[in-house]
Parts: sequence; structure tokens; C-alpha cells
Amino acid sequence: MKPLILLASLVAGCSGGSGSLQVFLSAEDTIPNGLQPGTGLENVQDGWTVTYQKYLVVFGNVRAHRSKDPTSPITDPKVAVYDLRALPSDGLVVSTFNGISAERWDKLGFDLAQASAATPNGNNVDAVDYDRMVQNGWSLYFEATLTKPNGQSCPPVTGAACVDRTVHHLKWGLNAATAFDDCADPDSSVGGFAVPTGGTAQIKPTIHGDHWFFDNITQGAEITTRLAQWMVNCDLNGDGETTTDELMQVRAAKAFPQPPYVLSGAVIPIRTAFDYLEAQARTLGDYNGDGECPTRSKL
Amino acid sequence: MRFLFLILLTGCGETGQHLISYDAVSVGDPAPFQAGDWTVTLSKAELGLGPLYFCATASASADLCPAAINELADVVTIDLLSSTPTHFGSIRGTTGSIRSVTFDYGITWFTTQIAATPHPSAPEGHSLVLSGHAVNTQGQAFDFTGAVDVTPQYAGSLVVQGYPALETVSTNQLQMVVTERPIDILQDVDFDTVFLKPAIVAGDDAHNAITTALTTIGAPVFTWNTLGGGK
Repeated sequence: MKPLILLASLVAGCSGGSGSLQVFLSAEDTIPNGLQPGTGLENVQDGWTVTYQKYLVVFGNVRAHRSKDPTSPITDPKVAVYDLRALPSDGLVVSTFNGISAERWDKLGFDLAQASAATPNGNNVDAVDYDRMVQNGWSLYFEATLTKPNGQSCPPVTGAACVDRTVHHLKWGLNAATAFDDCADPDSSVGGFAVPTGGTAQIKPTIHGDHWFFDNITQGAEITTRLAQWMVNCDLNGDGETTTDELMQVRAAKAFPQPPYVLSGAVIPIRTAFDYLEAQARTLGDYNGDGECPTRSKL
Repeated sequence: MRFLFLILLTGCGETGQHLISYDAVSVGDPAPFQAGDWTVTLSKAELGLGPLYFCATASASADLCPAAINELADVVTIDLLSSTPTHFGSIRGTTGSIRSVTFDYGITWFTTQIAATPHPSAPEGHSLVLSGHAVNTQGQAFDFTGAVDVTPQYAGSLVVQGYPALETVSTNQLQMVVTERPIDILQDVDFDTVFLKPAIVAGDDAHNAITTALTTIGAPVFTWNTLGGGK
């Protein structure tokens, strides 16, 4: 930006100009594209390929304020059920704020909310899936297939033998309603967004699809290893599908050996494998891709 | 983090914060406890604790907690069988609001270390050392020992991050209390398995149960007392 333009922007900001904000709900590319096995940082390190067939969330209550004036927030209280696999590639506009002060709004947050009968269908979510979310009061539902040519399932039960498992299924729904706040751009210490005078700021709350594969609960940069074996191991009845009921029967200490896992930093106490799933679900809210929303509060 | 802490101290005159220092004590519990069918009586339970970094943010990884409000830079060993408050060090820092604590159990992996390393003050070079006796309802009894290592995952990380600790510290007239009960650490240990192999070491299910507890539901509770008036 040239100095004169910068100066003009500064003057405009000081004169009390206004602009707009568009909020795009965005899905991390792991949701439409899945995760691949390999040794790269973003790969599943234990050889499983992950493909999502469904990925639904209840998202909304976008809010922002300026630290210097916390009593004048902007808020869109709407929450709705969204099919993240059906979003446009650049995201879906879920909130628009017009005529807001053209300056930095450094405090930004949003919710992963719980579905209720009053929660609208956000983007033509399949009626059966939508009803399932509402009737169960879930905030998240996904279906995934895990494949590994030489895969095995090794139940975390003393004396249980491993069995071959090359294809494995998950259909997991849960209420993990969480408020995500203090969102900041990737690698930035400055939070929120800046509204240009007479223009429109565009931001992308981003729901991630890979945190339950992490071997820790990240609170900043995602320094972690992605592993899927625990999901396959927790299939206690050996039917090729791990259910949330089965996850609730598995003690966390059995499913997540330390090392490699470290389970500290969760919003909730972790006693079972299901708790770990829920704890990771409460970290899915990110910002503009990989930016963090480090203040997470259970709703 | 120590370097950044110094930066914070340098700026104290400008922020209105004040330097403070106050005592830290530990409280354990010597009482026998029930674990499944077993009644467990410990004769030794020493926990390595530290360093401790108290942060103003709820999420407190190294990058999100660039400046600790308070800290205990040392590693200390606390006796989990002493129900009497026992002094173990001094917490130093500035006045301010604490929302979380990030810490190790005597094994650190600073960026200056090539691997996770037990601190010389860690009990017998471990995070936790145990010995005790267990007896079950069928009259079976055995003695056991444990040497537990709770190890940071990678260089620059601490093993417990962003653990709840809430206090506004505004005076030296404080006492921080670390409460840790052995039952909270050993509650998920399968003593039927320990009976078959009564020396708990890394790789055992019992070892994993203990390390999981120490990093989740069995981590210490951090509270503060105001001296000379109670709180």
C-alpha cells in the first residue's frame, strides 16, 4: 500500500467512517477431501485413510467488539445447522454487519451450538440428517470411513487379540457446544479483523475436521501427530463400526497411551475415549484457516 | 518463557504491576483408599513438580502465554502422604489475574535440551515414585512399587498446559496451596494387573493410568489463601 493511501485510510478512520463485515462459514479442507496416510505433518501417521461422508455442525452467534469499547459489541445471534461438505469452496455467508465502525474489532468469537427445535436448517441440510441433529440435541455429527490395506483392530481390553480390519466406519454425533473467542489470524498476535472505510471486511470462521486424530490437545500452533488407530481399536464388539456408546466404555488410559499421547489442556475432564472425542470437538473452531480462537468455553 | 518473563518485569513500572513473592505449600492425604476390590495403603508417594508458569490466559501453550504472571522456576519434590501443609518454595512474579497454570512433573524438555530430561530435584529421577501395600476382599495381599515418568511431547512444551488455576494476586500476603491426593492419581489403576507385576514402570497399563490421571482428572488442585485474615 502506498503512503498516500495509508494516510487516507488513517484520516478516514479518525473521522469516524464506517464499513461492513461479511462472515463466511468455512470448512477445513480435511472435511471435503479427507486425510491421507503418510509421514507429512498433515498426514495420518499410522497408515489410515480417512474420508468423511457427512459432517454437520450447529454454528453461529458471531460476535465482535473493540477492547477499548466492550459495551458496544456487534452480534448476530442466529445459529443454524450446516452441512459443511455442501459449503461453497470459498465458504458460505452466514452473517453480514453493515454500517459498523471502520477500525479494528480485535475481539471476535462464535459458537459451536447445540441443536434444538428452534434451530433452522442453514444450507439445505438433508432432512433426515437435520432431524437427527435436532432430536438428539447435537452440535456435531459426522460419518467417516477409515481404510488401511493391512489394518487391524486391537481392542483396548486386557487379553483381547487384534483382528484384521481394512475398512472401518464411524457415525458419531455429540453435543460439544462451545464458545470460541479471541480469534486471531494465523501467526498473528493481533486479534479480530479490520473494517475498511466504505469497504467490506471478509472473515472465515473455519471448522476443522482433524482434531480427533491429534495426539494432544493443541492450544496454539498445531504441533501434533495425527493418529487414527484408537478409533478402530475402540470397536469393542468387532462389528466394523465404533459407536459413541463403545467410546464411553473405554477408559482414556487404555485408548491413549502416554507417550505418544498427552491429554492435558481439555475444556472438560477426560475419563473415557468419548471424553477425548468431545474434548477435541471443543477445539474445532478456528479462524481464517488455521488461526486460533484460544479462549474456549463450554456452553 | 523465562526470557519473556524478564521482559514483563522490565515493563512493570509502566503497567502498574508490582513485584510479589509468596510461599507455596503442598497438602497430600495419607489415608488408605479403595481401588476396585483392593484397599491400597501407600508408604511412599513423592511427586516431582515444576517448573510452574501461571498465565493470564485460559489457554496457555508456550505461544499463547508469552509472559507468565507468576512462576516457580524450580523443580521440587512434594510428599503426597503429608496432610500437613508443607512449604516447598516461593512463587514469584507480578500482581495480576491468573487463569491457568502450565507445568511439568520434574521432567522438562526446554528448547535448550536435546531430549526430555529429569531435573536433579525430581524424586529418584522420576515424576513420581510410589511404594505401598494392597489387600483385596479375598485376602490376597502384596507390596508394590512404582516409578512414573510424565514426559513432555516435544521440545519447548510442558506436559500439562492450560490447567485451570484462578486467582487475582495483588499482595505478598498469599499462600498458594497445591493439593494432590494419591487416590486421584491411582483411581484408574487396575490393581489386579499390578498384583501380577508389582513394579509399575513405563509401558505398563498402570503406568499409563497414572500418567493419564496426572495430566487430566488427577492433576493437582491449585488454590490461594490470603494470610492474616483468611479467605
